Amino acid sequence: MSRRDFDDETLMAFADGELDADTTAAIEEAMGTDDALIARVATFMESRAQASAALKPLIDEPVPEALTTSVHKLIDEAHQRERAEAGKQPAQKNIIAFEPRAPRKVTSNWALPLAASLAAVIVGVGGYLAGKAGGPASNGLAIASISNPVVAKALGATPSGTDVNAGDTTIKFVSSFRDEAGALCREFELHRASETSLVSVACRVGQHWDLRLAVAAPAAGQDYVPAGASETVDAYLTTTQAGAPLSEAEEKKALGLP
Amino acid sequence: MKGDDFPVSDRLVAFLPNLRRFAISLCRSRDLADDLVQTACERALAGQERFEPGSRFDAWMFRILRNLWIDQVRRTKTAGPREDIDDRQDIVGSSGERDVEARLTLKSVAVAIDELVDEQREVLLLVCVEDLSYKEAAEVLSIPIGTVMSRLARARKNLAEAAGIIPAADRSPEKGGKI
Repeated sequence: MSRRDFDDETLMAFADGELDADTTAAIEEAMGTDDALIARVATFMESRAQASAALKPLIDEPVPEALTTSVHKLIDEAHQRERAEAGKQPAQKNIIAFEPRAPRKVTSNWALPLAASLAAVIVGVGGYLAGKAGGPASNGLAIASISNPVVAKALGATPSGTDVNAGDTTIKFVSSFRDEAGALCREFELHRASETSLVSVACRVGQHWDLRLAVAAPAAGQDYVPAGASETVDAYLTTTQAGAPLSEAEEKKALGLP
Repeated sequence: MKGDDFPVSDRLVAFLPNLRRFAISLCRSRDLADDLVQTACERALAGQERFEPGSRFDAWMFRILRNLWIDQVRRTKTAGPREDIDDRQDIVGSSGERDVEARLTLKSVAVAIDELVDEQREVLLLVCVEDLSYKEAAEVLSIPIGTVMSRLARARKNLAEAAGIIPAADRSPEKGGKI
């Protein structure tokens, strides 16, 4: 497959959901095999999320009373003028019109804002991590999430909504669904005492479970469990056109449970 | 405009926190920002018939405020100290002094945003913080969309670098990719 080069502006537009459908599809395809591309897109997603988070406190800052009072006064004066001028011919509209904001497309919403405290990172798309075994420790943790026989076994045997404890690790099974290719996938969370939690998606390929995505969330106890981690997972699921969550019965059947 | 509603004045008070945030980030001073917000409100009310009902009120207000700010910057250009946009390419300490220590230390995102050059900061604010589209930001800033995109991409790369926003997938083992 020939690798296309995408410039920063294009990748940013992709991350922001501002790209046309064709280029979006091309980038999504390229991301399946290009780790560097994933990292570049992730940088744009995170810079947006973090900029937004960093300036969020300013919104909650109370507006100084003096300012509010002045503005109220200005408004009253404007209303008086308005009433005085009622009946006059309408002013001409020599203006720049801003279009009402269209709802964001959901087809490829990588731009979903990641939450504030999210130390979160897309460490894998399309089995990215599998090729990195023996890599940095951070990836090791993600790898451990499915190379651990307990986890691997639990993936194939635990209904969603159930927790499995293995030593100091708790695995919460969130949901099951089919990916675009029809493979059974599971979203699950890995909580380890005083360590980074992982929100992961793994899909069954043959007899194995392939890690598709692992998003790190700050350790529990520090702040709160960020909604952003699940938002990132949602963005991923949307992008990969994951099917709707399986019902309890469908999941049982897919897992071969009694 | 219909005489039976006051779309601008109705929305102005509720929008004050956003307007004030944009102003604070733009001029990096709460006092200046509050003056700016007040003047912008005055302008908006005086020209409210120029607001198209159904169009984006926030973009319209940001444009008014930003234009006022630009005017003010131009007017005070020769009066007193100001920061030259071109001199701010490097990361500088918040005191304005170049500081080796500061360059080695990762900055908080807020500080890194503060230290972006003005043209990058304003586009970052409009798109990433206030959620305007590229097109809307282009209209607020009176620049082509292509310019919005190139400034925004540079802003975000600079921000990522200054504040250490780098995906773990990008970290090499040598650098110790710790989550």
